[in-house]
Amino acid sequence: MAVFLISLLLSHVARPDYLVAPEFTLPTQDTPIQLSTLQGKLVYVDFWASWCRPCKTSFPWMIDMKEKFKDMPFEIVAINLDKNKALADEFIKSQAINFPVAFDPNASVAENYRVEGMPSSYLVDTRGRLRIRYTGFWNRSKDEKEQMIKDLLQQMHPAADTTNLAEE
Amino acid sequence: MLRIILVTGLLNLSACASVQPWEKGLLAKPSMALVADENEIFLDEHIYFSKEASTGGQGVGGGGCGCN
Repeated sequence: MAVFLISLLLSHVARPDYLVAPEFTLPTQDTPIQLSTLQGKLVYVDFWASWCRPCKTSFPWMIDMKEKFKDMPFEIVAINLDKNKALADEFIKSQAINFPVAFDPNASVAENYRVEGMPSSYLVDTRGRLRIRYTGFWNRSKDEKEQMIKDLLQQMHPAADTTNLAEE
Repeated sequence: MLRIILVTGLLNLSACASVQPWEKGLLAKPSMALVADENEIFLDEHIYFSKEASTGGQGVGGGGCGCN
């Protein structure tokens, strides 16, 4: 009985198990990017395509987030799923993108991440675990997402000061 | 006979493949909209409203790209 009670208590105290984010190595416009090399950082992985309007709407926000958390262990990887890379390049050129854009025309990585809609984004913690998944992009949920990034950064690096980042 | 029907039916089932979200680029094109001409849908809806005294229920949410 005591063992049962202790194990019950432990199961409630134990932290939830998160899935490990599927590893990927993808070409970018620069050098190929590998998720595992970003361990130690909070990574926002975003799947997008040039034909998807909400995906394009999310870019100014992502650029803003990267700028806001530039001094923090935070990285954004935008994975493009266009079959025709020229369409993606055209959009990329129109934006002042400050994070790597990877290309997955066969959608093999998207399949591993079980992407259910466009855009889909995932927050991968410093230990390479999937912490949260977002499907779609709405302006009204921007603040909530930003708060989640801030909370996770704070959780992983309690010494880091994110308080002054809240203003703006 | 039954066997032939069964086999044909099973073969047809293989044609039902689910489209993944990243494969919906063609559906998101403006030319793939149910009604490509905005004026046409406006006039149609106006006539429908005048005749039926009701409106709406003519479209779908989004262009099928799975974005919303």
